[in-house]
Amino acid sequence: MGSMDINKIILQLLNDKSGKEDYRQLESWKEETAENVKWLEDMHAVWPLESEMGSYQQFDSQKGWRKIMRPKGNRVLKMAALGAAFILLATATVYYLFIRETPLSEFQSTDDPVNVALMDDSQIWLNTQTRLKVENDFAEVRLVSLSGEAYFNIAKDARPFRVMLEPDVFVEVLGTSFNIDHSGNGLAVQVYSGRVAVHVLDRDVILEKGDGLKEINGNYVKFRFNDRNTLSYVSQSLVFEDTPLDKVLKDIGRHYKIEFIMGQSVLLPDCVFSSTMINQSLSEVLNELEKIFQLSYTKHENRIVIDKVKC
Amino acid sequence: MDITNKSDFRHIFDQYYNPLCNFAFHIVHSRSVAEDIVQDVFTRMWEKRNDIESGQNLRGLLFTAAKNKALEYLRSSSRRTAMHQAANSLWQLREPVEEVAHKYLVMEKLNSSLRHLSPKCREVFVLHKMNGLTYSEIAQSLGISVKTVENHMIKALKILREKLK
Repeated sequence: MGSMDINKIILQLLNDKSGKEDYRQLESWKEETAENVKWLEDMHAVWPLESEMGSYQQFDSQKGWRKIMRPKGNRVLKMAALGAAFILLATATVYYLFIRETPLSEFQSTDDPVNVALMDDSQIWLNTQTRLKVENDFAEVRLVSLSGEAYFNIAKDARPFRVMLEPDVFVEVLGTSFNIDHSGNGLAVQVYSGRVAVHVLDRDVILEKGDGLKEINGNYVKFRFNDRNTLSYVSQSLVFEDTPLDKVLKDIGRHYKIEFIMGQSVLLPDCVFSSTMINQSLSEVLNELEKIFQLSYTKHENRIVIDKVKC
Repeated sequence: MDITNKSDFRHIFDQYYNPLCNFAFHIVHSRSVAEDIVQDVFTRMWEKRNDIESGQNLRGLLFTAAKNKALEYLRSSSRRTAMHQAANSLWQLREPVEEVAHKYLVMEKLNSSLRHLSPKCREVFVLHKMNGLTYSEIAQSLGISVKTVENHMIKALKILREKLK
């Protein structure tokens, strides 16, 4: 049996689409080596774990190792730190108990995206610097409020799911997936499955799969979208296929929260780029661009000034 | 493997740090908390290295400690009730820790093997297995036929099989 055939049969098995003949061929392939059996068992174990594989990421093990091996501070410093922590905790407790109106749960991302699961099994990915509050107990309406950008994969349920953005602006759904960017450049909503209603200017705008809504100078414009990198913070992957370089830099900038600026007398050439970047650090991405476009640049905090670039 | 020896301990750390962080992340849903949990687990292991008997199941030990710390974090505040309730339904907490550990180690290998796929093959695999798109949704999104999507998946599987041996 050709290797292509057995791979096809394995794929059908993993996708639960095998027939009797496939099983027979598979059994004889498994008998060839113990390694085959082990590999198939391994694949079977992880194949259904789409959610975990989708959010599988690379953590900085060097940083982790340095922290573990860091020498411990002396006793006086430890006591001082404990005292400071106690004062901070007491202040926070007073703030939370007496000053702040408390939502049921609150999730906040800082420098990294955060994935949260709500009590109705809805999954939400918060982009960086985003806050999500659960505003009620989900008894009749599932009510949350959002500040920043998030991708929602809402569990199907009879209770409507409502995302409050401003007192008179909200997005309401039953079970669907969509992205909301309300992080300062006007509202943008994109629907990936199902149907949502966006309540703006005292009316409901209905969006279906593939529809987007964008706020431009106080007006709301409905459009069809095909930008596959909008959710790069969820998938931790950037996909380019014959993509113009200016769009490539824009998507990379958006993903890594940096801005590309052309240096004096440098013009961006009219070239395209194809690549799939998964879980890569900014320096790995820049290395790839350096090799392909002979890119040279100077980095200033969150800005990258391009000094040279060629097709 | 002698974990009282620093280079052996580093070897264990390199092998398990990333899968453990991902395991903890899928429970607590916070990257920084997951890292803190796993670093704490390794710190304690290093501090207690002389008490750990040789031949002890380190994999089970590490995943059990990370699981307990993640649960402790979820229980530590009533403000996280919703997360705690959601976490109770996680397979990571229901299944025997040895099986969970095995799955995370396979996912780690799979993830690092993805770089060996061609860009197109990797894109199709990621869209299908990691973003949950069907073959026809991928075909539509990439402007290729469903048959081509299937061929990319078969090719991806073939290469992953070679790399995961």
